[in-house]
Amino acid sequence: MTSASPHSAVSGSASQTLLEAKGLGYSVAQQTGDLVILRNLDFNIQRGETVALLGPSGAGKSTLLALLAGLDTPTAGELFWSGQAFSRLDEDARAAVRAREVGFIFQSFQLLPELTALENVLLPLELRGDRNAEKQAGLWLDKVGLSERAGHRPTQLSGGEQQRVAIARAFATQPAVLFADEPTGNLDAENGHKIADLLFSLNQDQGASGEAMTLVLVTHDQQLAQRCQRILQLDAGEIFSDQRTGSDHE
Amino acid sequence: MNDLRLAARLAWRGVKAGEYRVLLVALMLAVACATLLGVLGERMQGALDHEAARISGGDLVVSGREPADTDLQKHLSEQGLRWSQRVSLTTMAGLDDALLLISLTAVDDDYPLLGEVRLETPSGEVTTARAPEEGQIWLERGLALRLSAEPGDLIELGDQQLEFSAYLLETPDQSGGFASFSPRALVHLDSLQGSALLGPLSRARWNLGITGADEILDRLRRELPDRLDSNQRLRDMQEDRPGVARALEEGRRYLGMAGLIAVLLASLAVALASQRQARRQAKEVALLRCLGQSRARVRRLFLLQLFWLGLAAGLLGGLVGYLAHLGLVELLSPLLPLTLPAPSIWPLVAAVLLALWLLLGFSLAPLLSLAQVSPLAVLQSRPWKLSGSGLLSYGLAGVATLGLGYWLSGDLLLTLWTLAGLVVAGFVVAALGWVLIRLLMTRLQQFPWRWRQGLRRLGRNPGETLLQLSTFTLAFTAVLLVARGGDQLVGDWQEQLPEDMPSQFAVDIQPHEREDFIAFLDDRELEHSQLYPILRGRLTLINGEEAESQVPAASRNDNTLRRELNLTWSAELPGDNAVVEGHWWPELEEPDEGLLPISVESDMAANLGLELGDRVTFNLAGRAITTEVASIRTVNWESFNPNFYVIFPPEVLEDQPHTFLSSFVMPEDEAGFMRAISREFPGVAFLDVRAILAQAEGILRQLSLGVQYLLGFVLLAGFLVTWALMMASLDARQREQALLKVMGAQRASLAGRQFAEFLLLGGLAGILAAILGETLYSLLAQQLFNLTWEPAPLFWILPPLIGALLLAGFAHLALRGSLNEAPHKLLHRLS
Repeated sequence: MTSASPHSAVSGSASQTLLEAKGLGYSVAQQTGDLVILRNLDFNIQRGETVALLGPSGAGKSTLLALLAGLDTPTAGELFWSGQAFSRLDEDARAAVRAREVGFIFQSFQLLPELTALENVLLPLELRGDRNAEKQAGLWLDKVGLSERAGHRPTQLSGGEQQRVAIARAFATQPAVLFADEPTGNLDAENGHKIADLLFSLNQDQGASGEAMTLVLVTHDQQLAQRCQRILQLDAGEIFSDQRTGSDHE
Repeated sequence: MNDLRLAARLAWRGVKAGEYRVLLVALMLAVACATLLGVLGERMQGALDHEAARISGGDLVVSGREPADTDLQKHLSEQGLRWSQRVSLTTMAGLDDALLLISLTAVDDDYPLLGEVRLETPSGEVTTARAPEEGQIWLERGLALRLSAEPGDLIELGDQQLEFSAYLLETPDQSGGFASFSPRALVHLDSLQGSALLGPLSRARWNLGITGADEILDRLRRELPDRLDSNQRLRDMQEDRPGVARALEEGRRYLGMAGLIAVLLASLAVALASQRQARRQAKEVALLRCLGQSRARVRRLFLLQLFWLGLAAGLLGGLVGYLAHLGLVELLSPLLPLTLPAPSIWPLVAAVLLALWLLLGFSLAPLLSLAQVSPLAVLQSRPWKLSGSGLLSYGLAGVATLGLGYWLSGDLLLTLWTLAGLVVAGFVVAALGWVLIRLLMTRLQQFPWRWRQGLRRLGRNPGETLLQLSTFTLAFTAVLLVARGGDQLVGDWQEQLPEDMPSQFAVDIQPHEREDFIAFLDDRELEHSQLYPILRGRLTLINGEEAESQVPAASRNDNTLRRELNLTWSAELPGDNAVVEGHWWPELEEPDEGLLPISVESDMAANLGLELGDRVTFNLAGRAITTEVASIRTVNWESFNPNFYVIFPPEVLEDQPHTFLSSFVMPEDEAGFMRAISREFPGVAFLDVRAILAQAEGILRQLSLGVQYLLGFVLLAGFLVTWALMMASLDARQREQALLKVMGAQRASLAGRQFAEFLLLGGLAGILAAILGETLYSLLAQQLFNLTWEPAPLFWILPPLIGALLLAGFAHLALRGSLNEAPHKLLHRLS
């Protein structure tokens, strides 16, 4: 494993930089004093890059993901999105950025139980008023190999199938960045591999057909992390390694 | 516009997936009940107005001692209005040596303006007709019987002889049901022209009925009083409302109460379902926020979904309510006028508005709290806890319920009291329930294991337990109350009737006939009351001032002030009376200024605000007599004996024109007896009390049926509340079940524990509902219906049993699936 200074591993022009963290910190006030979850993080993420946030439980990975996606605001430091001070935007402005540029994949899939697989994929497309929403959703469900289960509800699908629907939902809006929180964490090894394959192959297809998609994924699975171009390793709220993997998702 | 469509799609998907099932059904039920009552109320009101106009003989009626002048008639014709002149008088009819006092109506060719006359021809055919031809007379069957008249006979009316050509069955201007005091006959106006019956000394009353377009009638209503002579007046339609109108309105109020209970219960189910819906949607909101939707848009999308749900529930509920009202109309048809006006579109519009109003009141607060859900919630595995909506939630629900109650009852104070009562009852039930549960908990070791577990669970979640207990108890109480009302009222009412009740009243007995009349009854050994003198007088002044200005505002239009009252005198206090204030004659001191003392019935005194010592002036046949209130009496009207509002002392009014009244029990040979007594006392009129009682019982029986019909809705609403309550805690219970299973709990023991818990809860609610229900019923029976409360053992035994089995059954149905499901699958599904 190559250890590197957190500040030196990533470099690039400002125009290619999608996300930039400067002295980023997050703490929670408690009766016994502040509980620091993230402290003083400085790093960049370039457009089209695939980055894994790796670390043990409690390292602060999910909190960092939430901050990067604008789901929460840092208690210290700044986060810039395409050069814009993202953390200073209000909730609705951050939501507007998410609507335009962000896709999500969650560990527990977060499909709406009352909707069918197709309707779940349809939801973000409808929300932004896509004219061909239904056709698009069907296409993406086909890409993840579930066109025959389009009318099934999440409770009628296996964990792997549910995550595939979630992946179709995330890709359907063709976001600039995809955040994935432990995408294989709830799956067995075989299904986990399949999901990872699907995730990276779709990401590659996307890159080949237009602008490459940035992927930030949280995992504690070393193998999955190795498939990304870059690994940010966290422990106790700090980045203690930022390494390139040599993966071909460049 | 896009969001409106998108929200419609989202709402439809939720409906398809069964997400909104309880909410929608509860909403539809509330709307259906309200629509049912709304449509029925509107149509009954319309029918009563139409009835009143029909009985009056026109939408407007000019009444006087002389016929309306031709100028007025010409003016009406020019305005495009239809009119008809009729005259009514009491006169003697004769055939051979038989003579009888009859109520005669003479009509013109345009009679009747509204409705129709029903006849039976000599050949026995029942037909409808207008006015009889000149020279003919139509007689009621009873009148023909008492005169021993056959069709074709010539009946003498004063100096006229008219041919009896048909039996008169019904005229529109007959207030239906109650028999008139004097038997009736109908002739053409031309038959009486020039007769002494309409001469200057006649006591005939002329009525000009007018009908036409509403706007012309409204204008005429304003300008007519200026055109009338001093002896003419424009009659108020309310005076001629049918006798059953009051009973119908009372009945509608009672049905309305049962309906209000159903609507309130269904609203409660809406509230419970909304709370659960909001909890379940927290993750969905978090996801939408993750997907970049602003708070405002999330709020808008959910508001619009509510709008669509409200619209759908409003329209469907409105339709169900409309169809259900047809059933109720059919059920109440013996009580209702023959033709009900067509319903308007308003109840349907109101149905949609009501659905939206209920959603606004019960779902808006949880929905607004949803918008506070952070997108971070998607990253958290625990369910999102909604907060910050308490005050708003209760406030909006309170306003919605108040508005609803006011809309349905039309009485804000009554609604406020009802709601305050419900809240207090809820707290009392919760407190009582808690004491009982704590009491059982102290004896915990004496119970078998499963019961112990069930009890422990009840005691461990006091908030949830007491909410369920008080809600279910109140719902159950409502159902019991309606069931008790529907089932028992007729029986209780019949039991109240005295066994020695008279069947006939005889009125207009002249002073010279009194001894012969009593002898006539005594000879035939018929039970009868004493003879009561009757004087007619109008109450004009109270304490020297215009009576209307002295009475409470609510009583200004009281009939007591607008009509002549039946007054009497008596030395003895009548049997069914009791003096509650002041003294009866022998104990009275000499009255001031030589004023006559009077005794006033307590309800009348309360209505008119009369107190002991007040001076009341009566106009008795043109003579003003000022009296002083010397005593106030209660009267047992249910005895059906002759009773009076105002009684004078004896030996002071004997010189005033008066007649006598008596009551007696009819012998078996009714026809023969009536013929004989009519021959002997042709001027005496009879009133059949049994007909009135039969009609009163009919009304009560129909209302009771109506209440039982509504009981179906109340029951359904009660079930819905129970279901919604069960669903509210379903997710937590299922999670608990899964965990216990993982820890090795057997399916049977879990089922047993759950069964014990709900048996206890249901049983407890049943006991509390029986206590509350019987207390409320006894109050209602005594205060509203003047009935003595009798305990009904079934209503004490059944509620705890039904409550226990019902809740346990519901719990079994709700949790059956998860009991049988493998724990890992259950946990997977719940996550």
